[in-house]
Amino acid sequence: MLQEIDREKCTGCGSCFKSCGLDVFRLDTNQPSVAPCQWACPTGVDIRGYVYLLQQGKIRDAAEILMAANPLPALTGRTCHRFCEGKCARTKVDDAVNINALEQYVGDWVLGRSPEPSFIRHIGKIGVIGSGAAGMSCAYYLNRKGYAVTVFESEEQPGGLFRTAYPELASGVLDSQIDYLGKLGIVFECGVTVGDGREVTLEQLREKDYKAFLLAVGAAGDKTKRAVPPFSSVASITEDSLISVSPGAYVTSSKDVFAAGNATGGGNSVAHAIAGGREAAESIDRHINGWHLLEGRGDAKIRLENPPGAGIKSVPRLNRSSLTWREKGDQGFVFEEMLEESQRCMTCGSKAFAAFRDDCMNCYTCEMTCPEGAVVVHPFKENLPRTIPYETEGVR
Amino acid sequence: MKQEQFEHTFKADVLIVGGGFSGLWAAIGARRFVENVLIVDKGPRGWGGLGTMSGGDFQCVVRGQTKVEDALKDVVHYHDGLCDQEMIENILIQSYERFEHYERLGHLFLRDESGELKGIPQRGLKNMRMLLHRPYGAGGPSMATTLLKEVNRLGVRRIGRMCVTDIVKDENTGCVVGAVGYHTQSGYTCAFETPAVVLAAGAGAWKPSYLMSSSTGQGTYLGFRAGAETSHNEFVHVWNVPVMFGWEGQTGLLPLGARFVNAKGEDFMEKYYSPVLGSNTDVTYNCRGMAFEARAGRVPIYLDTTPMKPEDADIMRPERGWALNNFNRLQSDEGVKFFGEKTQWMPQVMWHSGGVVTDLSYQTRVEGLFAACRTRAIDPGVYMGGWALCTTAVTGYIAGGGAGELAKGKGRLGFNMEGARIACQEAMAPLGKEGLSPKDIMRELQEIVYPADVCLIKSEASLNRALERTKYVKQELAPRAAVEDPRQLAKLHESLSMLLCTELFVRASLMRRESRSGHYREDYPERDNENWLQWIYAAKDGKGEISLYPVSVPIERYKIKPHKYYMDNFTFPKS
Ligand SMILES: Cc1cc2nc3c(=O)[nH]c(=O)nc-3n(C[C@H](O)[C@H](O)[C@H](O)COP(=O)(O)OP(=O)(O)OC[C@H]3O[C@@H](n4cnc5c(N)ncnc54)[C@H](O)[C@@H]3O)c2cc1C
Ligand code: SF4
Repeated sequence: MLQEIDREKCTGCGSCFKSCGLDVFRLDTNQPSVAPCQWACPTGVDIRGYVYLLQQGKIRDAAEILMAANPLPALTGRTCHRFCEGKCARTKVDDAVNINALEQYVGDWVLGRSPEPSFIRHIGKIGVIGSGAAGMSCAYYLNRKGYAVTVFESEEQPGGLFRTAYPELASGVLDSQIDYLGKLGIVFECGVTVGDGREVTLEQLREKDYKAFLLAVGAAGDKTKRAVPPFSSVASITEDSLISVSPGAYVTSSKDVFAAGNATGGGNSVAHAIAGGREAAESIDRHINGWHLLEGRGDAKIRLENPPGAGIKSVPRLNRSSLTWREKGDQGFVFEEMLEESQRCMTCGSKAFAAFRDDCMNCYTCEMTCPEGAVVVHPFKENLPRTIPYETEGVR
Repeated sequence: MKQEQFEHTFKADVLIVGGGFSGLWAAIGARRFVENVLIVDKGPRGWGGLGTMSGGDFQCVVRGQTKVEDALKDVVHYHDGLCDQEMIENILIQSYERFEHYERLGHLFLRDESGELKGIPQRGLKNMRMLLHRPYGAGGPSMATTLLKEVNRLGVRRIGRMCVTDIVKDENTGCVVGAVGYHTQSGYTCAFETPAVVLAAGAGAWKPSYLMSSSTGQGTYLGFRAGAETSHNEFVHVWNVPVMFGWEGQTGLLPLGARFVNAKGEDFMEKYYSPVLGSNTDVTYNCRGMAFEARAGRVPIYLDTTPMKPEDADIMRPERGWALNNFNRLQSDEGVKFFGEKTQWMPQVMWHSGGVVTDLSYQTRVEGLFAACRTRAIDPGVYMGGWALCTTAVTGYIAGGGAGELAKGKGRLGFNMEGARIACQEAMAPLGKEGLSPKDIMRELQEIVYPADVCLIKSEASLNRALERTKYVKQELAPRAAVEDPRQLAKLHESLSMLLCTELFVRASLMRRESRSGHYREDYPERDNENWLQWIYAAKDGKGEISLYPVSVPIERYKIKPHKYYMDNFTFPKS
């Protein structure tokens, strides 16, 4: 019978969990120290947590964890700079886990299902100006918190840079993503420019029961090409034509006006914009409920010291569309590829435990595959009914 | 139509249920004909089933060393005439091809100084020899690595933690059109559209806590429910094992001097077997001897390794794999040295010999449904070292090839979504409810099958008792089993197949009123060729219940007319 797992020695690699024929082990991924991938991710997704769930095929639960930090995995799964993969501990064994493709898998899975509309619990509305990454992210989290959100977009179609900078998205997945957000209850008003002296002003919206705003209007990367955002009546605009916000709270000089994404200059990546939109949503919720904007936020995390790697068997990284029998067209992973690639994740820093010890059949596989010598199997079998019943005296 | 009922749907030319060595070989066989071959296993994706833990000993009729006909004679003798000669002959012929195949793929067998393959005769049968891989303990893992590498090269798809619960057939033609199941960790339901399914789910067994707890007869269960016949129902393999821990190597220890002794220190098998065989006898008969000793009160039984020469003990000392970890821990934690001392041993029911009936291409009577190795019944309760690995390779390869060829000819058929949906609903029904624990149901079944008067020295009275209790489990307990999560649901399905195997075993044991091979009836201790040179088949009747019927062994058609019998080497006390 499985005897013990030394928690001190356990690095969380999941070798026992992955190899046990009787499925005796589970992992606890909820640990104070953060895996290198999560540490590197601008949105701070609990990657080991959701990939562990993917290892078990639990796509719905994985989506929940992933989308708690990044609501647009189908888009980031195609566009993100993969900050996580650059720091993946698996690079020391062979190649980084294809986190990006896993993320896309979850994202596509989510978009493939029709969501229930969120229940709107709040009376006041929120206006999100700009439908790029930051705008969609903020709209999503506010919608989840029960707010009626309208996204205003000056272009004819929503998506911001997703639509203009990534033509390959425009064909399908971007529309599905927007459709999905629409089904949640988020309203997109396109071809409408909001701002000082424009078709619609914030003042008019305030009169129509809008309680707060997010300015997520983006900005050209090159300062010389950048237009001054038309919000000087509500926010201070920097010399570089960016909207100035207070760090961490994303609030402008007006209490009910917030800003995120490229319009504020922060980070300049899809992931940074998503994180900004999410944090701004939190601030807006706090603002409306009259709470302190910063209290208890941004809890200090510890970085994992010794991730696994030594003694882990090399397994080739699976890239999209690598199975020969696949029908052409869809480039994302299918279920079995997702399972296979997710198993490469070493769930760094988790702790293994014996969840179903009484199913152990004494095969020693876990003990032999554990690279840290943390798992100990005791030679004695389960005490079963005997063919010849007699009391045993001692071990021998 | 109602596609959304299934969380995942898969299309494959051939679906293989079980990723053990049989399943892996079936995939290699199937890939000769079709491209899209999918293996699913309720265990991990890459574990290779029980073979990975095996010693890697491989029965083989080596060309130039042994004649197939001589080997076949040995098996007919060993099986006491109850031998499907055409199938066995085929296995014996092709064992050499698969041996060559293994070596081609990089797994090499032991040769002596002159380069001759070292074949170790089994159970006193001159022509049945097994090939070894050294060092001791490395054989199984090496075979597993070799096979996994090959199926990867061939682009075979593999999914782990996937439990198949039913075969789906076309309503009109009765042909296989797919299967249903669920992912055991997530509980997502899955449909598989395929014209050919190979059952490679291992044998039936009763979770002996001895590296075999994954075998629970799900192949028999799937085949039986789909309408296939089963045979060899009345036989189980009883193995001998240490009371407290696991140990493999019996087949080598006894010929090298180790002895089973009773409480008085007597080498009790001397009373029961003929001097011709000596200690090199079949395990089932040793176990029967132990049961008779127990009846006479001369227990505990020990395996005494003190008669072994030190150099022979060295040969049998585990050097690799689980056996080495086990040995080290026994010494360090429990002070068990194993060599140079006595250890308490006992018989242990290891697996059900019963399985699905097929033709020579390993297709069942259900078109599109194939079965390999221990899912296909082959042996009447006796078993020689290396035979399982030989049959995984040979029968897996043939079954996979048959399935592939059939699939190639048929192409994709329409799926029976409604049938699939109903089957899936039934399978998932116990999930999320309160009820009896599957583990308790299994314990009941162990208590039915494990006693010596059911598995070793059978009688009308003891079997009737077992049958009554089986009926009680079937009617009163099993319907009340329920589980909270999908992982436990997989255990519940295991308990259901275990229940089917139990009933098949007990009822067929009652039916066979004679003794032969692994089946010993105290009340009918003699062989009865007149009435019982027959198999006992079982199949589902109109109400889904078990119907048992004898089927004659077609001796007139067979090459070898049985004339000597392995069982005649033994004399057991008559009451
Ligand atoms: C310790 C040990 C030593 C041994 N040594 C030797 C030896 O030296 N020589 C020899 O010849 N034999 C040996 N054997 C026996 C031999 O290893 C096995 O009989 C053989 O490997 C069985 O192979 P299989 O593929 O038929 O079945 P298995 O290996 O049992 O594979 C069946 C697979 O099917 C899966 N499965 C079952 N039901 C379902 C379902 N409903 N859905 C999905 N998947 C399912 C199981 O998880 C399993 O992986 C040994 C066995 C053990 C345990
Ligand atoms: S000894 Fe084998 S069955 Fe037991 S927990 Fe370890 S891997 Fe699982």
